Amino acid sequence: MLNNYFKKMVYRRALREIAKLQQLLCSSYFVQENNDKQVHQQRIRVLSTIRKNKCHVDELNHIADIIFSLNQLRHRIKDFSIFEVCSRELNDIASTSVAFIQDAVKFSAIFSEKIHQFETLYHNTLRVVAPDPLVFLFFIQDLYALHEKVNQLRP
Amino acid sequence: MRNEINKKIIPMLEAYKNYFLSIIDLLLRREMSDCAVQRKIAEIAFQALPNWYYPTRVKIPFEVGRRFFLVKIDQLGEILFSMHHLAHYSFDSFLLEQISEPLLIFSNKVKQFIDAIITVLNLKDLSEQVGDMAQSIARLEQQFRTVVPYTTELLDVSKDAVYFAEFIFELKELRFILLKLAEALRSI
Repeated sequence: MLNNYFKKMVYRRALREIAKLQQLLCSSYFVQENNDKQVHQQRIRVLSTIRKNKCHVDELNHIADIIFSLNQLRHRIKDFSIFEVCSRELNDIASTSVAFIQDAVKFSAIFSEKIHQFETLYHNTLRVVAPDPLVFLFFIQDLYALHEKVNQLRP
Repeated sequence: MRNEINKKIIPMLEAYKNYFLSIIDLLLRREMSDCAVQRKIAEIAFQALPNWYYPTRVKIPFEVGRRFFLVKIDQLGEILFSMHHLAHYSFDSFLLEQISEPLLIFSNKVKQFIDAIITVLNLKDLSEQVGDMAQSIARLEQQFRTVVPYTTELLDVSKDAVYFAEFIFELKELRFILLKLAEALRSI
């Protein structure tokens, strides 16, 4: 029983570290200052915390990989002004995804709703104004993957 | 100093090369065990990236060159993890069958390219010329478009198509980063 408790604690800690990484990465959409060092240190923390887990290692690794995949958006968008077009929706995605990773039960519905809102914005606006709209489609697909994978880990 | 950095970078590139090849195996043959092993080795390499390369106000030309090189290696690691996520997806077997040949040709070119960078870092001469992989990635993309003649509208409804389009997009980014690494070799 105590063993299970410790396992759960380590696994929750891993999710907390992943959420912190997601928060750091999301902040770089809006502020063009360099936070590479913090991001690198947090990535190391995420990978080493996942390795300490005795169970769900593959699932946690997969969630971390999705976060890395989501982060590709900031390398793919060269014109930062495009983020202004979707700043409100992207902000919502940032805050709800971080909350959702830490507490999937409580924030699943709201995160899903925010993904749908972002998708609507993609269809109505981003598909027309973004220089390469495909990268937003990839982003949305990865958000759905994150939603699915974290929900599969729900206790 | 240069030798010391090379000693750290070479195992990192070796690890990334093997991880990349195992991701291709996972995608085409659903071979998961090797990918898990290679991932662990790549993770250790990823974590060994020296912290000093982050300061952005470095003025010494060689330091700038080294920093650029390490930033690109860092991005290479992120792309590989991201590709691993996409490779988990069970793609349609017909699609995999159709694209397997150009994909294997491209992955072999990537392997040769990374080997060439390692040879230069080992301060040895290249025995043969290495191509820029442009033709092989173009062929892969063309083959994908033949099998899945996609438009943005079609991508909206097909998860297979979006994921594979993203995978090809990442292969192109990987190629671009490798070219940048080769260019930066002179400055490290």
